[in-house]
Amino acid sequence: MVLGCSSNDSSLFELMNESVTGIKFENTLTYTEEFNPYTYRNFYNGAGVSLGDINNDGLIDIYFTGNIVDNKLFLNRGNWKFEDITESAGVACPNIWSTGSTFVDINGDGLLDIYVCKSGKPGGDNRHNELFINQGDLTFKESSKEYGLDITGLSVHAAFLDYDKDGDLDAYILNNSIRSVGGYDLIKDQRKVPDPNNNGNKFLENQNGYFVDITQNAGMYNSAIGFGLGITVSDFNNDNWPDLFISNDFFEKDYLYINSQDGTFTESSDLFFDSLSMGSMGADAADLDNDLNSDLLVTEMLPSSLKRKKTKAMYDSWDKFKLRESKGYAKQFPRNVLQRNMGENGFFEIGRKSGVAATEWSWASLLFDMDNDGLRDIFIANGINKDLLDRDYLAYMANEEQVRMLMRKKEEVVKKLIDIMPSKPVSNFAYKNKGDFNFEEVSKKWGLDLPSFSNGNSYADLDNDGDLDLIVNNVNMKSFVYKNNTDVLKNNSIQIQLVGENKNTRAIGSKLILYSDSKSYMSELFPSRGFQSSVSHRIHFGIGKSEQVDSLEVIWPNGDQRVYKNLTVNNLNILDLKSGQASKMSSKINETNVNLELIEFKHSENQFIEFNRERLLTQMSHNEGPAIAVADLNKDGVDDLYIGGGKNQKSSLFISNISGYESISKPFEKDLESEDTNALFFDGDNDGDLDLVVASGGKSFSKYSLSINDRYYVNNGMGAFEKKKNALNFNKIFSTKAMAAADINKDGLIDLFFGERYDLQTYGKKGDGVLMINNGNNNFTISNQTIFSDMGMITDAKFHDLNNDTWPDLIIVGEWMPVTILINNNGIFENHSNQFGLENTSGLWNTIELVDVNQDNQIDLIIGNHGTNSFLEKNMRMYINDFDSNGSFEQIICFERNQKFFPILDKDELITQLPILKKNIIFYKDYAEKSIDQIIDQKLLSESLVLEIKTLETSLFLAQQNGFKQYSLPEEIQYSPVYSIANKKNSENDKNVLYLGGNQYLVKPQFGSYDASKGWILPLTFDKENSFKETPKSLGVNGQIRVIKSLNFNQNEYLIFGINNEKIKFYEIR
Amino acid sequence: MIKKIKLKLIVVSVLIISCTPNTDYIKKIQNPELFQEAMQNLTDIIVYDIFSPPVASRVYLYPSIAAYETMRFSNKNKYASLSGQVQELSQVESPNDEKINFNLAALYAFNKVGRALIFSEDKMDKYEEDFDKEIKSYKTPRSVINSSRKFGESVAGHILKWAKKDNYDQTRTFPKYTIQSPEKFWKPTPPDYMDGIEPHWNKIRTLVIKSADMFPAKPPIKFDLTKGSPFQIQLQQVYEIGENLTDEQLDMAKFWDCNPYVTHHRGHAMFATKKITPGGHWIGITSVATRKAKSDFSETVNAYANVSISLFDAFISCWDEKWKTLIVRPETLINKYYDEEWLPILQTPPFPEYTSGHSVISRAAAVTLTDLFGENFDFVDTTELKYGLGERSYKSFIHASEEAAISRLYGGIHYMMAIEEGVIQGRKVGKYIIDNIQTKL
Repeated sequence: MVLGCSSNDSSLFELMNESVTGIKFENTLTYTEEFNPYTYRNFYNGAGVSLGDINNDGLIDIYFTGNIVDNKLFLNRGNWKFEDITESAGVACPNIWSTGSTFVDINGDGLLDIYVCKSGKPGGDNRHNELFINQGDLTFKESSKEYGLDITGLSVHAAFLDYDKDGDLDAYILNNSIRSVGGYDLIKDQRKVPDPNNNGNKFLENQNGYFVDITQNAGMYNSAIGFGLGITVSDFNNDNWPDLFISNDFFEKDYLYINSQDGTFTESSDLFFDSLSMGSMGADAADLDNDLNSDLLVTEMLPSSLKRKKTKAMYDSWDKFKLRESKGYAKQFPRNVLQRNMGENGFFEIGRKSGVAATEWSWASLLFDMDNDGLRDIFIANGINKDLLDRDYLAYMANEEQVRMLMRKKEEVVKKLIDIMPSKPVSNFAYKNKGDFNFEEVSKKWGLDLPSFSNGNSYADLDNDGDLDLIVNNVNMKSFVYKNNTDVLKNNSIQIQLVGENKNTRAIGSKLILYSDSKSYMSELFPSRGFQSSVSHRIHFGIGKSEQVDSLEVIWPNGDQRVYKNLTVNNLNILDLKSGQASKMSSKINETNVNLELIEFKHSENQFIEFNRERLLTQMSHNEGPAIAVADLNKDGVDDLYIGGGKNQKSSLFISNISGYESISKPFEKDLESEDTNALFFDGDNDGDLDLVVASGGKSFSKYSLSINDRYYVNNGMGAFEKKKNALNFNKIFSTKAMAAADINKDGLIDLFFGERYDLQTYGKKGDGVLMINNGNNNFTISNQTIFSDMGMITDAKFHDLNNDTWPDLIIVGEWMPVTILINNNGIFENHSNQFGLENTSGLWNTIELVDVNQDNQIDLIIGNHGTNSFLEKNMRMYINDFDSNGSFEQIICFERNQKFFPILDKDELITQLPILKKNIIFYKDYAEKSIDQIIDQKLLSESLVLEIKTLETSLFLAQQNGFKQYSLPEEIQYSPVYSIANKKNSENDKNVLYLGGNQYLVKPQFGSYDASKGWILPLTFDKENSFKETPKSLGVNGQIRVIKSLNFNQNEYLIFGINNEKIKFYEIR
Repeated sequence: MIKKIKLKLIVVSVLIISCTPNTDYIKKIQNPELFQEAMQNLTDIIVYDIFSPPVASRVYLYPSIAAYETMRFSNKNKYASLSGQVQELSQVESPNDEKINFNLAALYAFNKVGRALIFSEDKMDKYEEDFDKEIKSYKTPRSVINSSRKFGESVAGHILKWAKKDNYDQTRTFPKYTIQSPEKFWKPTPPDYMDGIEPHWNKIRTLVIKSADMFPAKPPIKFDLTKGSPFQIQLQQVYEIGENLTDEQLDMAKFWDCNPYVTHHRGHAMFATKKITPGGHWIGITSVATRKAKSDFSETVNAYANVSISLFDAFISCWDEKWKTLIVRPETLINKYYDEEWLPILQTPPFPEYTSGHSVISRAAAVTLTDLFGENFDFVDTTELKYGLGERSYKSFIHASEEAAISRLYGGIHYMMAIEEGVIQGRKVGKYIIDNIQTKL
């Protein structure tokens, strides 16, 4: 007989059998005709688990909530034996739908009380939330009315915190709106309108033991569009005052309430976050990288595999996404978000890079150190009993006879409708933290992969062996009780229990910073976490191999800061305020750059929507401006500038004078219609002054428009420029981005290279490079060398003599093309990319910077790529052809899975563009199974242009004896696409410093905005063994940076940032 | 549904039991119910596959014409070819196979073209399987079946080749509508904010009318939200009408909803109801009329051909107007200015407001049906029974089309101008069609 455990011995977690533990709990849910997911929105949201020591015996007890079933309290008798004391304790809450609960000592008697949130249909005894006061004899007395906590609504959870540092605990109560979703979801400012029935969220201040509703006075929302599913309390902005994050389901954005330290909060999510999750569920905040800042993980519902995405996920159209944003609902995306706390630069959303963005219908995440290695890991509970969003169900099953019957109000139709809904349990997810926000999926390895419909969950050290055990509440399945077998054999841990003052006996709200072996760890004591659950009041630190800790700093809820030494490892340490030594607040040093406006220029991008023309693209690419060229034109020792505007925007020259810059728009105003994507000063006519060539690019032009011809302006020597119409003799009209200048034939005249950015009609078609030979007298003609044809979608080009033969060679990069080296052999170019070891470098390259990174007197290449914080993958392909023979071309982008290629787009998108395919793929499940060769005719496919991506990382190509070797730039640089790189020597130590910037917002919602960068500064300390040794720091420049240049103004060094559709920004380098 | 025919046919076969047994099948194949069933099957698949109203009119058109062009060989003196009467359709070559039964061939032609235009072929398979069994049960000689099928399918091929050139494939890649911010212009509407449907439908080749803009509507009333302005008065009317509707008017609105895909949200749970399109409703009325008039097989096919042509051109005409005027839906303005939570009785369909599609196509179809069956042809419209909406009685086709038109105001999805001008536009299209094509001689 196997009674003990049911999982394999080697895994970290062991599922404990209820016959051993005595923990019998199953959240059984059966739907009826009257009560089901159609009539009650939150039917399958499930319930939670709370953990706490109710009798102060040092053993943590368990309280489960149930929806239809009664709640249960299990007393921990030690050694994995638990006793069901629900009935004698009087905490069953029978016949009422319980949701979240939390242990809290509300009356300050040192005993944990229980607060239970209630939801479900109205009516019934004790439908209101209940507060069970611990009587000290394992019984409880319901006293919610006496405390003013008898709230009635679709209550989800509650969190207790001392927000005003007055020594008692205040409460935030999360109520899901009873209003139905749909119809009014894009109305502006709805969140400011309080729910007329007072069913909204509530913030209650504890006034001498009675809780008073101060929601609005505290600056919080209580509207009817609050669809909150999670309360996460943490000090998000690191000012030692508790803030709140509320995750909202559906269309409403999440709230970040920053504590204003004056009794109110300020909702600041727009300030701190760029991307939010759409249907936000539970969340958790904790420090994932031990930088002492609180990071945040919010879960959503995106399925994990490409296959399941195609059958379960639905996405907003671009138009709806923009409409949402314009109505104040922020940029929300259907996926989990992992928000890295960047301190004063807000949060960077890096869930896609970390690989935690898609984990199915995920109710809760908990961030805790499961293996005691000193880094918090991630547990995500997921699953929904009925697949409400199955696309085939919605399109073909939920709406035929069933709904017709529904309309005729025949018996039990809703129930039957639900009967046919697909239902599939899925594995929960566990991720091991590998440092630097890299996570390894270890669900199976750690024994947490049992398929289930899991909801609330909680952790605590139930057997006092120094590791955290895990309890998961499941729908229609026994709860999981997982014993953690890490113990303290391999890694050490330390546990802290705080004894608080006044009414806050557990010192909720304390922040603990542990120092050990030159590492530091941060923890906050806020028990309500994850989803409808609360964790134990003990603080747990995994400390890896460290045998001892140096000290512990505790910032107590009242703000007092104390230091504790002589703590014992692998033990529970009980501390109170008085026994600590007072310590000073460690003040942070802010490295702020001076931000000044030398020039006022706001770039203006056009609103062209590429998706309206090319429906199958994942993102747009036309937002490439502004263009900036810097040179000292008037030779006064101060740099002058040309700044090129967007379509229908005036470009200007900025000439320095004593007071600043004078703007000159002549003669550029005549080329108003052109969209400037690049600009270059060079001496075109060999008269000793600098002439100007400007690249006209963009995509919102007809292929016949003369406005996309590149322009050449001659400097008359007096600072005035004149356009030479026939200087550049192109033989076709094309959109340009890349430009480079060099004397390629050694005739003493500087020649020009232009790169075609993209075909105006079909993204992906290969463009040409154009080499323009300078004939003198401001006249250029196209070189007849054929090597430049059909190169790809060229984004940047640089001349440099790579082989030291004094002839300038050409480095060309672009999207969906490899890094390309054209060697100049006495004026004739030959493709040597393979000789340089660059054959497998096809990427989404945007920009090249030439730097000698390792100071070996060889120029290395730093090239900006798409980055890896994206759903795009390496080895993806793009097939281009006229698949429906209607005269226009389409692109089908595919991911590789087991050597087969599967389209990445939603079926509806593909069918709208290619209706011809619909016969073959009626059902979403058919589409999910089909690789491109099963969708597109073999012959058509073999005739298609096929492009591939081999690398997405922004990279260094280090010059070696035999070509280049690729190194990825540091992790942070990969958070977002890099569109511009500037290199500047630090005058003090002569070291190179890189400045990198990018971002791309014009991305379809299912792929999501690329916004996790505010520009980076990266001092270059590189060696081949250790790669990059320094960590990039954020520059704090918001927006889509398209060009970074350095600028000398009055003996000061500046960086100038050209930001798409934004003002030009200047930063002084110190 | 096949069962129903069988019952009727048994009665017929009892009556003709004394006839010579080898021609028995011919009588059976003359039963117009066979064609009615084929049309019903097509309607069912259109509903299942969710075609938008204009696209659905195309799915009705080509099979109906294929059937007509096949059927007419059974009586060439009575039915003229549409070749030369509609754009770019060439003559179907006369067959020289005496075994062909042209009614049977017409059914094959209809199904073959239908199959090419719909998506769910498995549903067509199922239907054809039953159909084949049915025909075999008549003891139809195999040679007759084979010859008829062969000819029917060759006509189908001819029609599909012609259909291929109507610019439908090309319009699939034309740009989506880019939302324009000025208030007077159409914007996607709640709850799903779907993309505008078929902004380039006016590029589709018309059949009888010379071009999509041959019958433009009067320009819409100038956009002006000032209280008391002509436009504002019409907006106000839509805003207020819902509260004051009689049960009869409410029934009207629902009866003529004909929205092929209405979504309903219950939190994360969602479902959609599918219904026939406005064109499908008039195809349904054609079935009611032909049955009531006891039309024979040829007359039935002829009626469907004429109605589907009329619907097709009417949709193009209306869509041309819609995507040129780009008038904003009342829901958008009412939500913004009067009541954020106002909901129309019907879900606003995803395309611009002016003119009202139902008004245009209903009147065009009514004009055609009146031409075929006469002015005072009263009937009970049972088309929507299948969709749980009961039945309604009409004195005439025009009467029904009047009601279809005004129902859009009751439904809260159109201004009065779109209805009034839509009816006029539809009348012109319908009139032009009956004046310019002659099928039954």
